[in-house]
Amino acid sequence: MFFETPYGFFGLLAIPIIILMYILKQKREKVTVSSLILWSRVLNDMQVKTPWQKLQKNLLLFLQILAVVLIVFALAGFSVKVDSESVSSVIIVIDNSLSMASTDIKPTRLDAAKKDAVEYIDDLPSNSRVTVVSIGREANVLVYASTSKDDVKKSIGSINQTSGYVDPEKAEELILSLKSQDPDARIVLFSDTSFRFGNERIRFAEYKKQTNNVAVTGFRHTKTGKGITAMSIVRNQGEDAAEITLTLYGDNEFLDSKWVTIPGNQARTVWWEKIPDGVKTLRVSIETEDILPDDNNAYEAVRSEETVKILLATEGNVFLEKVLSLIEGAEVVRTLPEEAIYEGYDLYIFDGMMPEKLPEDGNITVFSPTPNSLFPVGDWMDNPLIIPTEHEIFRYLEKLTFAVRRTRIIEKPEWAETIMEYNGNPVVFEGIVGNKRILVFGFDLFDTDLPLRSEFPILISNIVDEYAPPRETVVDRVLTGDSVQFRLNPDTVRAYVNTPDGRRLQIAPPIPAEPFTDTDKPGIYFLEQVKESGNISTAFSVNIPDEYLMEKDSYDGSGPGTEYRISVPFRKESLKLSILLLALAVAILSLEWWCYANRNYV
Amino acid sequence: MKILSSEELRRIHSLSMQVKMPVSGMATGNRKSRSKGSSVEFSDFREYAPGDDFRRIDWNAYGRFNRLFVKLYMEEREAPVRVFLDTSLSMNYGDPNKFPAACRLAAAMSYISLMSYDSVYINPWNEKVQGTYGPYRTQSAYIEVDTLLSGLKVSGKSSFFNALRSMEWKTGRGVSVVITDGLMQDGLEEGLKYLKYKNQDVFLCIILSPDEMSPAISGALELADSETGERIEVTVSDVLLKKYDEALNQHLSKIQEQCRKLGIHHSVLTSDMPVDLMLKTIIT
Repeated sequence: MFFETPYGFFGLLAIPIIILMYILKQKREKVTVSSLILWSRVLNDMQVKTPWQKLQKNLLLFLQILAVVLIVFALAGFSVKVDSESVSSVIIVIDNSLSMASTDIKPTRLDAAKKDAVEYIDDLPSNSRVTVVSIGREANVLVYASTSKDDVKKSIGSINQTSGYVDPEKAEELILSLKSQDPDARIVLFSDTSFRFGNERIRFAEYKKQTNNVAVTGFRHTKTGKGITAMSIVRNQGEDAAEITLTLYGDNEFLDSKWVTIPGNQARTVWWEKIPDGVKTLRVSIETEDILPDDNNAYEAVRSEETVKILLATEGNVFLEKVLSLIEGAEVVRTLPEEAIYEGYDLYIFDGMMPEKLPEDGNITVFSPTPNSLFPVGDWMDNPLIIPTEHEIFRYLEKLTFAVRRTRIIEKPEWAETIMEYNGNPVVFEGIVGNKRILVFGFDLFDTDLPLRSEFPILISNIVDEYAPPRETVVDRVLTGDSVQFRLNPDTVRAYVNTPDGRRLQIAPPIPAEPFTDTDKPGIYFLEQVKESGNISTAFSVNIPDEYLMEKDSYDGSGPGTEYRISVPFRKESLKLSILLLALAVAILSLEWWCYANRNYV
Repeated sequence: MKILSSEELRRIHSLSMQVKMPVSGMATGNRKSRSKGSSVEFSDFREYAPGDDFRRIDWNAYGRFNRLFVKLYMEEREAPVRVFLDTSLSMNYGDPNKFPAACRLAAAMSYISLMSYDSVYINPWNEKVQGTYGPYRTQSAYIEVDTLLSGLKVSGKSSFFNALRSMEWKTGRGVSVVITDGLMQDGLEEGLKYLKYKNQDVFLCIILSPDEMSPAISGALELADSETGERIEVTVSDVLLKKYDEALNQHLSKIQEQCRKLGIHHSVLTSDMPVDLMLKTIIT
């Protein structure tokens, strides 16, 4: 038995008012009668001089108070818990992703969920095993199969709001694993999104009253001849159209503002043009209040367009020369292997050769390597089957297929990781030697039809983006909660990250740097590299993810062919008596009216 | 202004009061009295004493007993009829108003009394008797009664016993007609007893207005007593009216019981009754 909205009890204030009305003297019509002898005998009314009179036993008063009490109970959401089954084991899943910071449920959805979860724990039998899992960017088991309610409550209390989105796959994987260890466990999900965990039946406590949130879900810029042009995507996650004020700041100075109307459940792209070239950082901000303020800002670091210097050492490769010359901001020098002085370039591309002594600076990409000191190179292997893999160099090239006539038989060195292989033989691999990154293609471009494919320029562009410093230090598309692997310049001695909240965190040494994980706060971060030749500071932005898109599959409900059972909000396990109470109150008020109309009372 | 119209007088003309008790009026009338006198109605024998009217000697008895007896006859005397009319403020109530109805009743009683050769006294009273008017002896005196009653005004509270105590009484039997609404805290029973003590044949006429018999009021009211000005607050409901009805019946029953014990003629009238119907109710 509980009350969903105890604020309804304020309605009890009506009772003293009713009593007050009964003890306040009524203004009466004066009637003269011949004698009061008979009336006095009938009545017990006392004539007093105060404005109050003795509270009489009045049927109407009691009916009215009863009606008020019933209405107040109905307002307070009087419910009776119907505990249909006793549970011995529970997996409490609490969503602490960004959207749970929404304030449509006070103070926030997460706080309400934590409070309810604690109440739920209190109601469990004392020997229940409780596992607490928080699902956000990462799914974490906070307490496993604990029978100590205090520990469980403490762990629930320790769940903090994160700025990430829920990775439904990770969450599902973890929950299913926990469930498989304890098949009798009941899964109770406290979230604003009905996630699915396999075909498991879950109890779902939903924390979503409103969806009137507008978020900046994308923010990009590009440099044109007329300054910087930025593009922001604003998504209205609510059902109703939203009118918002969108403001653009450059280096925290006001630049522009726009009034935007976005239909419900739709996104709009807002363009910002003629942004001054000197601006280093951009921020777009929704000035209109909504239930989730955290996603009202998006940040973007304006990239410095320094040219990269590329040395192509080849006996002659028209494809590479042509493609490299097309890459904007790249200064390509082509040289014959024997003539080359390997110094002063950001990226060295060796086509069909390997120098005896590797250059000190810059990264290296090798096509069809010759035997060398870094890794053993053998004979040729014919017709390897090429299966595309996921790697930065194959970005946007998921469907790339090409034929290779032959490739070098290479033994993968310890420092390297295979990107593409055939029969255990690496076809493409990369690794780090010293501070240098080395990318090796086992085949000769002339032995493939790759240069003839339309995707070839993209592949080479990806390689330049990825391996040519200083571009390589640019981290892009970082979302809150992401871990960032910085690729420091080869001659960097120390490196720091300056966070938006003013902290300066050292990330190197060790070199290579550990992944940087302190990206919970959206904003502009600065990577500061200390080199002998001087310091370099590179800005990068960390933005809130578009949770709607990330969790979209879950929003869509069950997909075709899945046997997903509709989750049961556990609040519905309680029998809500509001309607019954209101009906009773109406009946009592009718009775009261009837009594009054028929004067069946003294 | 005439209290009773000619039509009303014509209708009550034939009615006469049935008086159970002998009375002791001064003038000869139509009532049996304890006095022996000349009439056609035999009463007793008594031995002749010098001075007796020897015309009344029963010579047949003298023949039998050789003693002189005179026949005694019941002397018919007038009955002194006192009309005690309640003129307290409570009488001035109702629709039709009780007081005019009471005056009409008083006039009618006086009229039929005068028609029966009775002497009539009018005693208006509230806290005390306002005066003793009369005797009116002849039928022609009715006009005086009418004039007197027309001039009466209501005032004061009603206190019957105190009123009776305050008036001067002449000895002898008589008929007392008490016209009141009976709505007084006390004094009615004592007053009636006092009248019996004064050898009166009492006719108690309780006269109430239809409003008092079944009040047509409802809702939240402040009721004021017309005599005392006292006020009470009441929320009049059906249940309350029912209880009022019970209280009224109880009140009337109590009076009726007292009257039965005292041998008093008792009748309850309403102010909307025609005067002949009132009379018939009283004397039957």
